[in-house]
Amino acid sequence: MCLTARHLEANGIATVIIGSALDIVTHCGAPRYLFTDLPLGNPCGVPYKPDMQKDILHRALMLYETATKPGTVENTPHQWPGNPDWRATYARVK
Amino acid sequence: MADQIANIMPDSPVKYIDRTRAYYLSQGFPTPYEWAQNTDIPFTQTAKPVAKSRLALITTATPVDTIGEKRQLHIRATRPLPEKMHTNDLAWDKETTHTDDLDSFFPMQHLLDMQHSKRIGSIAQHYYCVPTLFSQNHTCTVDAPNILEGLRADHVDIALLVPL
Repeated sequence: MCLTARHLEANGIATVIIGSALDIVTHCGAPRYLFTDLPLGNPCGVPYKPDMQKDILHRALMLYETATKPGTVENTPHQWPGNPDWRATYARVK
Repeated sequence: MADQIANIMPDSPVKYIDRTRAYYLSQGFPTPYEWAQNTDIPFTQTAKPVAKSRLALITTATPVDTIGEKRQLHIRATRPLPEKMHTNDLAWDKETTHTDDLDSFFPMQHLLDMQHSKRIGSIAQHYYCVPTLFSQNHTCTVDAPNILEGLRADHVDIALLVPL
């Protein structure tokens, strides 16, 4: 997805990526990136939490207007409300 | 290694590159996938506020079930809203969460509400489904140019990309 964003940006279309894989997206060199520290699958917010989802979108829209340099990364304050061990369990080697 | 880091810093972002490499190595795939890496970053300054801009949504989910099939680019009409987007063949945390709520990964309804409230100028007539392919070359030389062509035909100013 980051490669697509880079192509669009190089051709005059401003982009924002919302995503939860911080290392992958920054490794690739995203022009504007809103990082949501949530399990992969719900980058736009916890399911059935519309207030959180709308807040994340508002923050993403702000990035189009406030980012002044390539590689701008912003965080959100939102956290996963479920299992606190979710970071350790994804693709773990058993 | 990644699990050790997670244990030391339980609230730090997951290191997915390390985690994925360790997982596939454990499954007998010794050659790791090389994630795209770039130090130069293209950048387009927006020419007008979001409230005057036309926005397109780009997702890695698909409007059709692609399990067992070659994944490809889909360009679909924004309205009527899809009732379902398929995610099962994508890599996401199926142990922790689910994708039953479209707005958690495909926030079109929220975006249309923001158009209605004039936070966004307008929403493009189409949304775009990017296949997550092993071939970075195919993404850069085929899919991304096709999306650009579609966005230009849709008179899009800004694109919101949401990978699962």
